Amino acid sequence: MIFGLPILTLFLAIGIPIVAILLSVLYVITFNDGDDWLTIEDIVDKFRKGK
Amino acid sequence: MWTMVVVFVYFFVILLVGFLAGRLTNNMSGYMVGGRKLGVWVVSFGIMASVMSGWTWLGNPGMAYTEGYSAVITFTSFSPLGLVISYFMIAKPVRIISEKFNCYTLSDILAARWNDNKTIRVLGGIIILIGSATYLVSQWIAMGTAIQATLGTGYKLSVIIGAIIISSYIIAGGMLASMWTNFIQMIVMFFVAIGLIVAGLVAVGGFTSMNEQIAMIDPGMISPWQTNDGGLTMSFVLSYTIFMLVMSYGGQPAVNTKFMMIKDKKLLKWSPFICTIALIVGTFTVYIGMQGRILVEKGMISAPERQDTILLDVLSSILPTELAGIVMVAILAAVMSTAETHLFNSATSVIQDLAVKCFGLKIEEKKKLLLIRCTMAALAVITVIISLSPPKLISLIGTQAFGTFCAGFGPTLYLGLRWKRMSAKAAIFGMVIGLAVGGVFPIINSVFFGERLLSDWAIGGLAVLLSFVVTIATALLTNAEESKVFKINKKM
Repeated sequence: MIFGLPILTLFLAIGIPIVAILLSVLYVITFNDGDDWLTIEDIVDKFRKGK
Repeated sequence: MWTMVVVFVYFFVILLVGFLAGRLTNNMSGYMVGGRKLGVWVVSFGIMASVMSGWTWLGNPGMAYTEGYSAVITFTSFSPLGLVISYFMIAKPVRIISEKFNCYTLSDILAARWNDNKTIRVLGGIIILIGSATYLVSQWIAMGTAIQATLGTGYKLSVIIGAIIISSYIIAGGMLASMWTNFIQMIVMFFVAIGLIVAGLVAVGGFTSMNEQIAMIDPGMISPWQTNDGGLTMSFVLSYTIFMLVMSYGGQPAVNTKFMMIKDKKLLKWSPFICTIALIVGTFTVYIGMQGRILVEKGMISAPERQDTILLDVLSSILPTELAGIVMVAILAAVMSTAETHLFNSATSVIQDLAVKCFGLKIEEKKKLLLIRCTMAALAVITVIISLSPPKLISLIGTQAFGTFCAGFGPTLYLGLRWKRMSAKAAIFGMVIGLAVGGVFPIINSVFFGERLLSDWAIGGLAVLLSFVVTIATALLTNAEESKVFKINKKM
């Protein structure tokens, strides 16, 4: 028990909103200013070239 | 008396801001998308205010009063995650496409993606019209209840007062008025929510003490899923949180249409951070439900007749009367901000999506604006009349609107804007399945089976899952058309 809650409850109730905040910070860091956006085809293409 | 003064001041400020916005709105772009000149704070708070409805302030704490943490997890903790994912998936493409192809509505975006496909446009318009109009009825009902509790007027008069105030400034100022008033409403909700959460925790001796006390009342209440009869089961919690919140939150027109309004797409990067903080603070009012349960068990307040009023009962116990008036304003703000967005969306879907774009009605811009305003007035009158004595079916559809939007638009948008392979047929089948399972099946389940087949919220999750499966399967089985939106998707 942490803060009087089972670990799973604590993670789902408090941890998930914290994960959301961290992801929103990641969005700021990874945002690109161009007129383009990534598609599934781009990802597949990059993966193939990487191989 | 003090409460009435605070509420009247609030009404005056909102009307003033709405009409000032109306004076600045003289063309279609200004009326429909705020001229795409809005700042990041206005857009972010505008999204949050329209998403947080009366349910956030009354329904969620009411659920937590009986269900404990399973309600917290189901209705609030995953919403911020779903919101951020919606930014990752669709925010930037929607903003870019809307500017390049002069889009005003969600159906405009979908039509642009699939080369002005009429079926997709009609389907989009119908989903928005049905979902928004019925959602609007549920918000009029909530607003009538809130104004009745605040001003002491009868229910019917309360609905009419609220509807006249909202309709007058939204008809005058369009989306610009909506966003400005939403901004103010969200500021009110944000600070009131912080005050309430702190006051509530102080009243029960802190966070750990609250959890220990609630566990002593019912150990099931600190479980992520309630195992008691009538509780929120694991399948319920997971289907709702994973499919409706995490995988399709951005399907709501109240969220995705506002991505078009920001003045510079570069500002979008700050929006999810602002929204997430606002959403977490706003939705943490759910904890008031558990704090209320503790106060009831201790005999400090009497048990509510309806669990939805627990927040109002707790208020009288933890806050001075003067401050209770401000909380009532926050509740009104939540209901009004949601109602105005759905009134606007339902009217624009009738004129812009159906009459003009689908059925080829050719009118000049000024007449189109007038027609949208008249349609909004007509829809306001019709939905208010329905909400004065709402039929059970309308209320049921209204409560299903969230699921219908998530299932009808979520998979189509998330996949369609990121997957060139996705054909128009895949979008159509996905939207039809989303509408059928998310919007129609709950009615069949209720009318013919007495809600015995599945719970309504679990149906929403199932609808999103099926819509994803059907969309992907159809996309793989059909040939994709070349889309003009991917021609502008140039690497810099």
